[in-house]
Amino acid sequence: MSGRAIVVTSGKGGVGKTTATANIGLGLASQGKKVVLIDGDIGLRNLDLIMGVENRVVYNIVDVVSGRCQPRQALVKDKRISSLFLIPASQIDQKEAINADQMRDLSAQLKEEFDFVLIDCPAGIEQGFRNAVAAADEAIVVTTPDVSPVRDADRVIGLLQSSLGEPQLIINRMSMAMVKRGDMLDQQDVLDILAVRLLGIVPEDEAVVIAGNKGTPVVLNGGSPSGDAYGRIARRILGEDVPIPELNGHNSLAKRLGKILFGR
Amino acid sequence: MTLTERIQHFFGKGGSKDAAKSRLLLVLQDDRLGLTAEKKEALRKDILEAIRKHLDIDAEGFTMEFVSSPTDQNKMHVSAPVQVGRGTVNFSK
Ligand SMILES: Nc1ncnc2c1ncn2[C@@H]1O[C@H](COP(=O)(O)OP(=O)(O)O)[C@@H](O)[C@H]1O
Ligand SMILES: [Mg+2]
Repeated sequence: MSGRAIVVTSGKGGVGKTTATANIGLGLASQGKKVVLIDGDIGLRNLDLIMGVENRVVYNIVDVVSGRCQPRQALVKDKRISSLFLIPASQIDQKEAINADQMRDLSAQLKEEFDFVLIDCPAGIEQGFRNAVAAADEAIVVTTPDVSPVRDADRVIGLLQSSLGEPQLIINRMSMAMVKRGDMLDQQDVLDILAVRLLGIVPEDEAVVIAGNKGTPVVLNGGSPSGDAYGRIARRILGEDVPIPELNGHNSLAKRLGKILFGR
Repeated sequence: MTLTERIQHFFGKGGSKDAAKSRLLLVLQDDRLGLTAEKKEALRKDILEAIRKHLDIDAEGFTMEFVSSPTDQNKMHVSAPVQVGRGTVNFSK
């Protein structure tokens, strides 16, 4: 078996990569897939906390690549879904503790056993980014609809093109109220600028913060707007044709009238 | 807020996102082309010189700029006032 290795990246920090990795992983696993998440943010370990499995961590990814343990020993089993595992980052090492070849080898090994290997990429475009990308066959770029993250996303998309081809985009933290006011880039604006395929839109949602507090990612509790968005994203990754709800913030009448009155 | 602004706001126009979009399109054009201020200046000089080999143009009025807007993406505009003969030519005697 050869699974799909997907890196979740962004350039800019704090836009929602770790949240996305956790929720997509849980979403895929709840659809019956065997999934392993790799926390690629060495020195800043977070994915275990967001997943709520921090108490189960024994070994980490640096232990694995330096041969201190077998990959199997470092796999932390999820509390809720038996086909989901996590390889935690090391909290004390530097990004340089691992190189791209080691990541590639580890990913190749894991792909033998898992349907999906999801790699949570650190911010930036240095060693940690290169390592995470080396482990992947495909990329998901996460951005928020703000100027700096979009600019950084564009840079990362450019860097990815030579190795992994065109990534898919998640626009996170979209606020309908702000889009309606014309104070936030909407989905079409972001796509006009970045010219990539859209994988999904995740609304700004308090539930994400609460989920972080508890270690139970939003996708687990149906009914929250962000959790439902991640559920749809997971199904799209599996090839299902799930429509992306029009989240442009205008009702169609206002939109049509607006076009007539102001063009565009 | 004027009434027009109010109406524009209701339809989601005239907010700060228009500034965000046009500013992003411009910086990304530079980013993607790898254009630094230095490179732009070198390019400007080369173009100016190239034109001057063939035409008498006014270096003062010569401009080169990059534009990128949702309607007019990724263009380089070069504007060179051409000197037709010496001094101002007045055709409409
Ligand atoms: N859709 C959302 N709505 C509200 N807050 C969010 C959303 N997505 C992420 N956040 C918050 O943003 C912060 C950064 O998210 P995180 O996933 O750690 O980003 P990254 O891994 O890119 O640095 C977290 O505090 C998280 O709770
Ligand atoms: Mg993170």
